[in-house]
Amino acid sequence: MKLLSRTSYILITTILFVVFIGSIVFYIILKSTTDREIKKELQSTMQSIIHEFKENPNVYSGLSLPGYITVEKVNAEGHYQPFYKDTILLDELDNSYKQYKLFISEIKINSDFYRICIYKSLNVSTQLIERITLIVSIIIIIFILFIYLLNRFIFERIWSDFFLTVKKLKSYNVNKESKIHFENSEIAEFSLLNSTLNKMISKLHDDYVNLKEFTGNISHEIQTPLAIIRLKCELLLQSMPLNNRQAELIRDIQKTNSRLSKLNKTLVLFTKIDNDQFTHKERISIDELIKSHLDDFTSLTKLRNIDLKYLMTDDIPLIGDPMLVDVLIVNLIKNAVLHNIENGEVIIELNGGELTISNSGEKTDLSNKNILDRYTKLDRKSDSLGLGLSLVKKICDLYGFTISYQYLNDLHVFTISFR
Amino acid sequence: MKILIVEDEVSLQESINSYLKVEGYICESAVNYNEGEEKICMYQYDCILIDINLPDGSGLDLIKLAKSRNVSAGIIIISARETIEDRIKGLKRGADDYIVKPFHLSELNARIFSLLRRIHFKGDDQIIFKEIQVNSSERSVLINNSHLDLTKKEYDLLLYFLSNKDRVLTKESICEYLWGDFADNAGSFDFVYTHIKNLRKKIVDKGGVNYIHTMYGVGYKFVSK
Repeated sequence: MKLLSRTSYILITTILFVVFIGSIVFYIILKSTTDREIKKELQSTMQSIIHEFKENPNVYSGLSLPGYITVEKVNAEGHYQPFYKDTILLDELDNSYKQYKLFISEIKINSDFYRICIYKSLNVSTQLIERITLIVSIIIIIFILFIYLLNRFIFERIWSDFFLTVKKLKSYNVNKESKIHFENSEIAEFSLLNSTLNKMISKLHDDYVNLKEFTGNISHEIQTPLAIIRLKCELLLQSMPLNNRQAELIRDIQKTNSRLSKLNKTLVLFTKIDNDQFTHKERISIDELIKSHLDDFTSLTKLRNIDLKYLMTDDIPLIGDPMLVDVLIVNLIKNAVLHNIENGEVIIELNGGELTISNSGEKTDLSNKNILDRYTKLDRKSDSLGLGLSLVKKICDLYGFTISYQYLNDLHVFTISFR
Repeated sequence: MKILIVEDEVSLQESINSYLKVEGYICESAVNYNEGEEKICMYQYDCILIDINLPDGSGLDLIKLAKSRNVSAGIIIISARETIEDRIKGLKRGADDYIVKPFHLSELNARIFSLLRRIHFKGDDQIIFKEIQVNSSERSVLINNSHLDLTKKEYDLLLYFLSNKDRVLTKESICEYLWGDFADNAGSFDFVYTHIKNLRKKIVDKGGVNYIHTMYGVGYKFVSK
């Protein structure tokens, strides 16, 4: 629900509720006030009539003016206190019933008892009350309407700064833009928001730049000492004569060093993907990519008598970082080749927006082994880091591809859907 | 042949220096941008190795300078950065090759060897070692003037040996040279062994001498003497 609708909704329901209760109270107060006034008026009229009656009993006894005043003789037994009564009388003038208030009082003149009724028409006051209530209600409804329209108008104006801020934030990409600045607003709250955002984004940007530099540098900083170790080992190897034991030791150092260096490279790659630093985009043909590597793989598979087949029906053009997509494809094929068996097979299929790589290997279903997680190594004997497939997964996630694993007909099947 | 090494990491620079010296190159070194700039301006080199990250400037600017001053020199970038952008940036400035740290000295040596041949013979050269004759434009090999039928990998392997004669080449370095990043499994060293076995056999079958010696537990060596 929009802020405007929400506030309007609350405002209007509250006002309607207050007006409803208010009208009732207003009506009751008005009614009781007029009632009191009418009673006062009747009382004073009664007093003056009684006074007149006592002085000229003959004039008044038997007076009968329904709607104004009636005097009649009653028995003494019926003596009671003066009281009020509401009644309806037919008005012969326009042939309609009208409300009257009656004030009945009994007096004793000489030895006779008389009952005096004074009538007061309620017609005017009732109408007045109804009119007043109606007018007040109309005023209130106009008032609500006005508030609503005003609110709408003010909303657009006042919140314009806010929407500007949101628009800027929406288009902000920490990866691309250096910094964005939010202008001060006339409204203190929005100014506060903007200045907070300014602070936050400049911090965010600085952190991002630092992190980016760090990941770039860490690779350089670690690769250089690793490079030195490697070169020194190589020089050491050339310094003859070495006995076999020494040569083997040097080679072991080299091997470990290589592993370390590859681990470092892979982890830096992970961080870079996490930091979304692969912004370079190009059109890539998966078919061409696979073909360019096929030679290398064929020479590897031939030696183990692995049958490598590549079937392509339709190519998939992709937009992405060529290096990342390369890593993705190469890692998958490499995985299929390395974890294969003598006289095994690798089938690469590319069609319908999907790349399927099936390979023979150990006859175990790996569906529930989290093979796409980091450091999941299935055979301890290999020097592999267990990062290859998780890297594949990571790149798939980055570009929105889906990867799945199946064990079908003794083949390990990896499918990437590029759609 | 004169080679300039611009590398701020002295230890790395010295290693490259001492390896290349044995190959018969005259090596000079610069440890920072200024020194590199000075040497590029003052002397002529056949090949310049440039590290991109220098303490007082970017190696990329040195490439530009070298290209304007020293047109004939081949330039190889040595860098720890391996993204495509970095590579393209370097090659666009006029570098001829790009090698990512950490590399094998034998690989660097092979690259220099190939680059220098490319520059001096415009790719139409022949490497002749005793009875072995390599024609690089056709990628063909003759032994005692008879054609030697080699696979692409075997040809690359032979060139690698020829550029690193009398050097101990570890299985790792050969593996990385032939397969690049694919070579991260112990199993792939068997492939090296098979390739070398095939190459030896083919050379010997054509009446050539077996120059490739196995260094037990370490690797191989192409013995020229």
